Amino acid sequence: MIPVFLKKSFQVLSLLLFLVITLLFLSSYSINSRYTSGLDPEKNTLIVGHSHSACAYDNSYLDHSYNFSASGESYFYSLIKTKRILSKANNINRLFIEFTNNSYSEKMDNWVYGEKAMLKLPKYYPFLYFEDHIYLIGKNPIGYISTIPSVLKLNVQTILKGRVELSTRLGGFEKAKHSKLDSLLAVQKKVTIKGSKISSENLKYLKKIINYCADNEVSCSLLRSPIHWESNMYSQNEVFQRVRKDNFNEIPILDLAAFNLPNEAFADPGHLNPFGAKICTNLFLDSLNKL
Amino acid sequence: MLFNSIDFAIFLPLVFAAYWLLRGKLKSQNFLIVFASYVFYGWWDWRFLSLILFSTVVDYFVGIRLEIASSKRNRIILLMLSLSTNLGLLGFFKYYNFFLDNFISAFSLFGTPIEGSSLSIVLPVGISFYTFQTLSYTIDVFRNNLRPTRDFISFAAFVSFFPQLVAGPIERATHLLPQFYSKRVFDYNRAVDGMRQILWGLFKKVVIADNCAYYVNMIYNNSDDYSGSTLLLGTILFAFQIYGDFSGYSDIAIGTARLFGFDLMKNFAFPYFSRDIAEFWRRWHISLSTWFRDYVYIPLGGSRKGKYYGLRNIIIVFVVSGFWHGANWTFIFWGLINALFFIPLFVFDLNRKNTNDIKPGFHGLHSLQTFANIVLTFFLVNMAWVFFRSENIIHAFQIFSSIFSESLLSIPQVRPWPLIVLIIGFIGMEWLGKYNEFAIEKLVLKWVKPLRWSFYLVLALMIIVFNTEQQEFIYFQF
Repeated sequence: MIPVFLKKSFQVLSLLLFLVITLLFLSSYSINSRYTSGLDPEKNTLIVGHSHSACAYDNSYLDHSYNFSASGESYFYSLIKTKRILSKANNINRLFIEFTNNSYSEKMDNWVYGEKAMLKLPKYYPFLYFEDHIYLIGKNPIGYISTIPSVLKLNVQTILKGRVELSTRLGGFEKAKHSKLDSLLAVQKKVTIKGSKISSENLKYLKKIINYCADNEVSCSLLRSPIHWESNMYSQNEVFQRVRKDNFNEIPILDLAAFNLPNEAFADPGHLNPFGAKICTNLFLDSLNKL
Repeated sequence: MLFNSIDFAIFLPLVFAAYWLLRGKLKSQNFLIVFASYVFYGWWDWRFLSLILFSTVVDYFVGIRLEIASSKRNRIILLMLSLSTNLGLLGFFKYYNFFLDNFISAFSLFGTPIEGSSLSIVLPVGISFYTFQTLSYTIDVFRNNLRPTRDFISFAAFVSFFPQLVAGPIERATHLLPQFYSKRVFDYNRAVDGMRQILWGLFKKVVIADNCAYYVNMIYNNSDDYSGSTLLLGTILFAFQIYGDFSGYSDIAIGTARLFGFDLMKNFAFPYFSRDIAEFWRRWHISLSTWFRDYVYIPLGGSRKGKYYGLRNIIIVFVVSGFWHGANWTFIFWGLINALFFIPLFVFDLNRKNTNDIKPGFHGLHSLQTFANIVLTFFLVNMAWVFFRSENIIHAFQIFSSIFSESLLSIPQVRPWPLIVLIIGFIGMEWLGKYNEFAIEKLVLKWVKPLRWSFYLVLALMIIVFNTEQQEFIYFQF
């Protein structure tokens, strides 16, 4: 009787697997076919990146630009959302990509396919391309499969909700309201950073974003948002400059880290609070006007 | 390893396949069970394995020595050795800090402050469950109810049997241990039943309990912000959370054991359809209630020596049972309040009034009375759950004062309609299947095959969709 039991179990599991894949495909297709950029037509500039830029540029002060960053985001996900939003928002002709003192770190590869990255997957899942699925399955099959329930749940919720706007789903200005500058600086002073290893995967996707912009005639610049001058990250400035010159020497950079903002502007060594975001947004707008 | 994890979804088929490949080789199958159980348990923290192994070795040798010990004195010493080893481990890991903190508070209260530092002790998962299981073996051998085993592998398999290792049912040696001695034959119907029970258990855990947990945590963790009606709703949702969580675990455990040819005891019998508190305690966590009945209540004299001693013994059992759940006064109060609900029934000899099942069909006034009794019992159970869920005693009383205030009549601030609809459907399923081992055991068997399969697939899909954040089972902490 064991073979019969195994056969029946296999049949049930196959049917279930088929249903899950069908539901996953149909719900993702449905979302993919109905999404909008959610951007006003006058917006022509986008900012993408992780939490540093997400907390630094307040959309309420930006007329023609839109901060589309999201915390914990690697360039893998930035590429997907750049491709998707550019396909819907034809007015976008300039892209700023946050590139700062932790963007090149090997640790960022974990943000591409590690456990933390898998937490972001459900929101992006309907917008992934075939090669992205293959890439993630190859890098972290267990993580990918474990995320499927969350993807299904979010897809169903999204379909029931009706509207899908990328601008609010995948990014936007984030208010860092915490106040941990002094405590974290004190901790960082006790830690010595030993030579940093350079990312392979994250930087690979940054290059892909730059190439994609070039192919689509979108002007592309790097952007370094303010970080506290006493932070560990800032002490890695030489490495940062070397990586930039070695890899992205042709790409212009708008370096706002060079402005020493007051301590009151920081929520922690790497993130601005809403007060700092207001200053930084104005700095950004001034710099844009000078370009 | 959690039952609702990918790890277990890989682990179970592998062990199942290996186990039945070894059919006919009893010793090898038992050895595989021990190995698999230790992998299952070590998945949390391999250091905990030393505890379970130590407990197993001690009780195995105590059992053998009990058989050959000639004098009563020696037998008592051996029993004490087992009790002190097992309860000593349990006491150290679970209750050390509780007693220390309370001693310090008590001395401070009487003007003699003393110092003591709490230890940062990690509570081994399920220690209360396997400790009680091994104790039942030694006590039964001591009472000559069971012959001690000389098969160490079978005994180790009995102590560590992975389906019920960390959250029960707490098996008796007299029931489970002999099953390791006899040849297991694969029974197709039993295995299919097991799969169905696993499915229903997962549904209860992932769809009902975990969704309730979200709202319960939100309401109880910010209880100051919510009205009495919202706190009452949070408490009712907790009732379904803990039932779905714990009875779901038991269903998965029993179903998994069936796949391997084992029968575990029933742990829940639709307790929320009880007509009084006594019936509730015959239907809730049956393996623990009967353990306390057989190894604490009856040895204390039960009700044989009259009402006074009966009352005393009931209070002792309920308080100890509460304390078994955790080192916190909230659990002791939870036990105490249940004792208070139980005592009037005992005093007026009504505690065995509802030992029969509810009659099927509608019987006019009688059915309405039954319904009213069920609602009243459910309300009392919920009042006790307030202690169980609260952070501390003060928190519990704050919740009571909010519930029994004017705001009880306001519209709840939290209104999770989809979940409420889901729970109503769940109650309906449980009501229809209440005469079976588990709700869907025979409920859908009469349906045509496509409908039946659709039902199972919908349950499975719901489990997948809702299994977004794997939450540990509540009873693991006990």
